[in-house]
Amino acid sequence: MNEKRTILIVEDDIPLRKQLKLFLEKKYEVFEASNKKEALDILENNSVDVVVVDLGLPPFEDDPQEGLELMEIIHERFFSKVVVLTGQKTEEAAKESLKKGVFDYLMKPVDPEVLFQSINRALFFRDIERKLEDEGIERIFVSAKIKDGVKGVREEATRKLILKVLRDTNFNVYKASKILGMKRENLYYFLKKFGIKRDDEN
Amino acid sequence: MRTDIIFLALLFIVSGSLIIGILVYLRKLARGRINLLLRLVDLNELVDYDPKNFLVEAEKLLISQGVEELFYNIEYLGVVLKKEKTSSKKALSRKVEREDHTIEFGMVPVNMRGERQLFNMWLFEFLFLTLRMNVAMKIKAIHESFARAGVVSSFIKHDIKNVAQFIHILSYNLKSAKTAEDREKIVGYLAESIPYLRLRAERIMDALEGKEERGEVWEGSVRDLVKEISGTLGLPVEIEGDAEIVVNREVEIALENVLKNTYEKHLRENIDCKIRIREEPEFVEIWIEDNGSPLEDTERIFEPFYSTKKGGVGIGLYQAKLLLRKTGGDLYAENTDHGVRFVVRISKNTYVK
Repeated sequence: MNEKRTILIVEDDIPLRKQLKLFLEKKYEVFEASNKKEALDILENNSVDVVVVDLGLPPFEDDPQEGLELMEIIHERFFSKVVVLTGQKTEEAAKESLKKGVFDYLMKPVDPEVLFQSINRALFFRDIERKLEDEGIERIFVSAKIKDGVKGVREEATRKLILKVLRDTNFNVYKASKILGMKRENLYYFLKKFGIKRDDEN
Repeated sequence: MRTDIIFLALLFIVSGSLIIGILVYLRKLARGRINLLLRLVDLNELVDYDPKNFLVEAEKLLISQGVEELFYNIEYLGVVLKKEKTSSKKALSRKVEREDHTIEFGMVPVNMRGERQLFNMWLFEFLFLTLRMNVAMKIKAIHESFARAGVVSSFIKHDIKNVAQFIHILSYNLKSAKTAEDREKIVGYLAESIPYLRLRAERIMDALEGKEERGEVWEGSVRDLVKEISGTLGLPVEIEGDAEIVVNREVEIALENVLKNTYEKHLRENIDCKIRIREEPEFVEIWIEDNGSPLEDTERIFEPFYSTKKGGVGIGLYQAKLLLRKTGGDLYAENTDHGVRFVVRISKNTYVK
């Protein structure tokens, strides 16, 4: 892959964000965002490989809520790899990040080399996943409670797979049903069951 | 017969005088006791409702009022207040045990005979109730202080970690800079960052020291000041009107805090913000209006440590109002037909160093 890889930095501390940008833009194309809304605007309009996220984003700088919500949306809709770089040292924040499928969790202040290596690893994994996708293999990430049994896991995996294929086909139900090897009526059933709508309808 | 009448009349007079005498005496005693209770109430306020100081000062007062001694054994949140009973006389005492405190209190009256017994019991119950109230208030105040310290501490930790990370990355960037172009880029980004670094440093200093005076002054257009602050925050605003002003750093901080509050609302609700600047002979008013959700309580939002924001410290608007009032201005909020309006009133007679 010869084109420059893209990194999105989501950090409300502007001086820090500028230095992170300077640090990364020698090797990557870098986008910046101060909050969840700006980040999503950038992700909608650009293909981003890795997102470096601070969990404490405005308007809740002392709470990981916004960062975690952003991560969840990224995993549902954009499939970029997420590296968390945060001052939130709580076990709860780390657990929630893992549940939402974070690639790496780094605590400030981190050695720049460590951050660099983490981003490189994320890009490597992203490349491998793309190759697997070309071969028709999708990696689906599911967090499930064991006590809920296999049904929950199965439904969550089904939902995520359908969502991924629909997004890849721009919500073309006919194409998606062909890729998934199911009848259109069955796909419509799942759309209704899981409440899946086009992104612009949400 | 005549003798009988005289005797009855004398008996009536004597009985009446006795009754009146007793009533006068009891009334005097009651008034004395009520005055004593009022003095104890004043004393409690004077010692700022501190349990230990109240007991020490109250005992001094009561010794001259028919009480031989007070004794107690009180424990709360690791604090132990103890005074043993030394008198051999019979005492009034009570003990109460709760999850976070134990109060054992006793009073040795000098005289427990007749009507004094009733008054002493009355006095004892009053003292015991006051003591319980003081201990409860103390426990609550300690819990609240720890909670606040924890909030402020985590708020500062967040800022310090960002500063530490900034230094790490800046140091790495400086070491990696090989060409003049690299170095120019670093300088360029640092120049962009200076206003934010200054704001961040001042925020940390304010939180640590609570000092707002820095001897700096803003002299110029209110519109430019508002534009600078809202630009730094990233809050899109529409501004109407202008005025020239010379103000202390305190007023600047107050305005920053109010605009930051609006910025956070903008992120949550995607509101529009309109700012009107009105000039009067004695003051300048800045109306910060939005079209978002109304405030639940337009007064409480200025209370310290009151925040509707998750993880919020709850100091910003309180501090803003305090600073503006200190400089002869004011701050208030009102719900409008379309949203919320904050009115920042800046006195033109603000003291300038």
